[in-house]
Amino acid sequence: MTNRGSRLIGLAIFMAVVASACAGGQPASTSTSAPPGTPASAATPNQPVTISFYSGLARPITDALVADFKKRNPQVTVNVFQAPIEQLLQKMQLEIQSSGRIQADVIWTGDLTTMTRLRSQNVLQAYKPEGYDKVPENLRDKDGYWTSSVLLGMYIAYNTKAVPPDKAPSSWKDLQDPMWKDKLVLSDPAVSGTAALLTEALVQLYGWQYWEAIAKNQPKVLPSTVSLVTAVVTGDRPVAPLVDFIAFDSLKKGDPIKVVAPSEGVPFTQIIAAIPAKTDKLATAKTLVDYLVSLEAAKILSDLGYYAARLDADPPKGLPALLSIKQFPVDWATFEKDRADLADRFHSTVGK
Amino acid sequence: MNRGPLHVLAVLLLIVLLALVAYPFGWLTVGSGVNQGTFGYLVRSETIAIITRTIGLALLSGTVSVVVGSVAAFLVVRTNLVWAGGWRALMLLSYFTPSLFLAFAYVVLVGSNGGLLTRGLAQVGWVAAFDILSPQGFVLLASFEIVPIVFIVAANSFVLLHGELEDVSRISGASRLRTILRVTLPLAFPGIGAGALLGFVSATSLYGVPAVFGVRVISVAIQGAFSFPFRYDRAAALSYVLLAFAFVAVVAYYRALGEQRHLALVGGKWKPPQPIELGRWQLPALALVAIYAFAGVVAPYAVLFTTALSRNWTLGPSPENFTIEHFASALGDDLNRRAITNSLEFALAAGLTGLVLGSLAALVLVRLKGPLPRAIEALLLLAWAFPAISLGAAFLIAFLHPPVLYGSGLILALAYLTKFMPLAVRSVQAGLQHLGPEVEEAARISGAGWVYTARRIILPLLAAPLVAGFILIFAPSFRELSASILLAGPGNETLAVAALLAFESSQFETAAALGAIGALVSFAVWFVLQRYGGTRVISGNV
Repeated sequence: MTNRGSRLIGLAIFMAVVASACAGGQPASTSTSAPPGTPASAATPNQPVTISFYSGLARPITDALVADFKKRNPQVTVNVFQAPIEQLLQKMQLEIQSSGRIQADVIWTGDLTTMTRLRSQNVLQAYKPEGYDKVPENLRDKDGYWTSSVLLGMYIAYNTKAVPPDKAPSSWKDLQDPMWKDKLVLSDPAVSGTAALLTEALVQLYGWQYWEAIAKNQPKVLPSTVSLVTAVVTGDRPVAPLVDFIAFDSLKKGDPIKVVAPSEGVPFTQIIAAIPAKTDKLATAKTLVDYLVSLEAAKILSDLGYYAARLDADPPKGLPALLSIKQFPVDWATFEKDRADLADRFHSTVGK
Repeated sequence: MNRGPLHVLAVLLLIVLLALVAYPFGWLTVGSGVNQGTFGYLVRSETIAIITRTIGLALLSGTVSVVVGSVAAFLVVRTNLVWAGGWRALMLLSYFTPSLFLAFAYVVLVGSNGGLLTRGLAQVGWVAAFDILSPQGFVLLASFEIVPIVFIVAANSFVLLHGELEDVSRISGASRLRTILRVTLPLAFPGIGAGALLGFVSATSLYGVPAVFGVRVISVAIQGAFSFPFRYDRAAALSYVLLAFAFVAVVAYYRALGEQRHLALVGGKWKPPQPIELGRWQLPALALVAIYAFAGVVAPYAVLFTTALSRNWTLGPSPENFTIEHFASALGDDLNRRAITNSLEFALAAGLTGLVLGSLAALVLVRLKGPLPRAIEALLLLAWAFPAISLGAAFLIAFLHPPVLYGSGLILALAYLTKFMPLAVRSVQAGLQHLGPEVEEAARISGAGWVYTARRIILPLLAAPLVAGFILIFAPSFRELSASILLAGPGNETLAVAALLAFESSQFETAAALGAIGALVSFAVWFVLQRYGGTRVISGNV
């Protein structure tokens, strides 16, 4: 074969490879959101418009809210991307690192320290939604860069088959008792925001001695908060701090668990709505944020077992009103300062 | 053989790999802000503990996996083991299990306090025989992820062993065992060596099992570094530590291979090897494969399917608790359905493209010497040694810059291609090492052209390693999570992302149904390939 002939074959192979790579990916790319720079089309109210929405909350609640929003705003197509809060943050931060902006029109995720940080990175824009005034002052940005929409509380859950009720822990302090050796499971504050909150809350109250004592019970540390419920329900590790909606959901399904509101109080974290800077769908983004903070959304939230962050909203059926729950006092400004080294310190104290 | 076209090919491959590997990792490394503090972090005692833990566990689980995988491959491919085809299918099935489910299944089965088996054994008076949350348990679970890789690569190169040499050895009076030890095993080295290389390096970057066990190894620390306070410098530095491990492994592999390179390979007079009679070893051999198949495949899949078919998985299997609604809701849900099609599309695209590119790369690595193949080898090593989350982050950062691919499905297919193609390269490389250049030369002397030689001689002979190469890319792409969740956007969620969302919404049953569907689809793809992909041309019974 001539040299030229073989070169041609080489090139043909290369082209075929590139072509097949492109063909493989193309069908899906038709269904993705418009790339940055697409002309805005949100100005007129009844023109069809598509926005992209990042949600850090679980599927049933995200799906229910988006469906209800679409019923009220039929001209809007909401392209939702959902991921667990921590992965969503990883993704947004990498987007900021690369392009200087968040690649979504509305974000709905936790928590307060994250939003403060995003604000200081100049990647959010100010908007005070309808109902902004109904959200407690400490749960919204004073300039309107972000507004809380949902509150998630941390409780102690235990397996009723493995732990008799009279032995069950009634406070966070109780978990230090040697009887919980090899029985505790925690989530990793390096990966889980609620775990970071709990770590910090207890440090603020008891100092790091709290976690040194817990370390003696050799807790298992898992990255995902949801894996904790598996460990508790199977009895593998029968005691864990759990986020309310996960615990209540497990209870509703008839799992052998009980939920305790610890005597020091329930630390609450937030799911917050905000509009990223540089969105070209501002008008529609505002409509969606209005909705996420609205009483209509609060109704759906409480139906599905969540506490809306509005004081005038009803609590979930069968659960106490928000104000009647003893809240764990958390100094969020200190939390923000502590957070950078929190996970490292936790790892060196509790191990793993 | 005329090296001209191979050189052209090598240059083209290098360009593709520079775009797929060097470009994104360049962005990650430059943008990560590595500084003196980063190195300070690397030599901290906690970091060193993480690194040594990673090495220790990788050596342990790697060794176990290489032994089990190679022995199983040998038994299934080279002996008259009963039901060989069935065992082979089961071994493959274990490669299709997402690690999320594997670990979930084992906590349910043998968790120290509440596992079904643990409690069952306790009831009949046995104290918990095995604690899954122990180092032994960790090695066991990690090996379930690595054994199939070793098995696939080794089995598919064993098919190419030269039968005549064994016959000569037997005729000269060597015993069966001596023939195996002195002839078969050395001949099989390229396959076993490639399998071992893949096994050890995969063990260092394993994420799923350590994450569920709460064991802080490098990949888990990297995951943490990508979270707040976003220490990309640490993530990059730790990724390069993994790269260093992989580098050592590859150097060791080539050193070991160096002595084996000139052994008789598939030459002009190749005949397929005769199956080795197991005789009275049949039963022990059967027991060995059966134990692995039960622990690594049957048991976890039983849990997976039981969970998927239960109203509430915690209540255990019973007629009242039986339902197929989770399969219905898994398939009836828009996002889940879209995720299954997306994954199938992306994994097929990555598998087919990776097979073509990977085979060509293997050809270059085997037949060429000098800086070109070395550069290709280095880039492949980089792609493969970095854990998936680093690759995902690198792709995200790089492809939000022109050419903007972020937000499209193409970026996912390309990420899978990049991450898993090195597996196919090893598989085909091992096959080519058995083949020897003489075959091509003979064909060329007889007047056959390049294309004709490839189509009529090389491809049929390499059918088994090629099918293996495809599966080695397709199956992990189909279930990949860490990179996918960073790269997916609205509309192109993948199966693993959908399963994670179900899992994180406490819908374990739906998550299990998605896992089961995923495994069935992967298995079906493999089955069709195996049936119609021409593997039978040479092996007859595989």
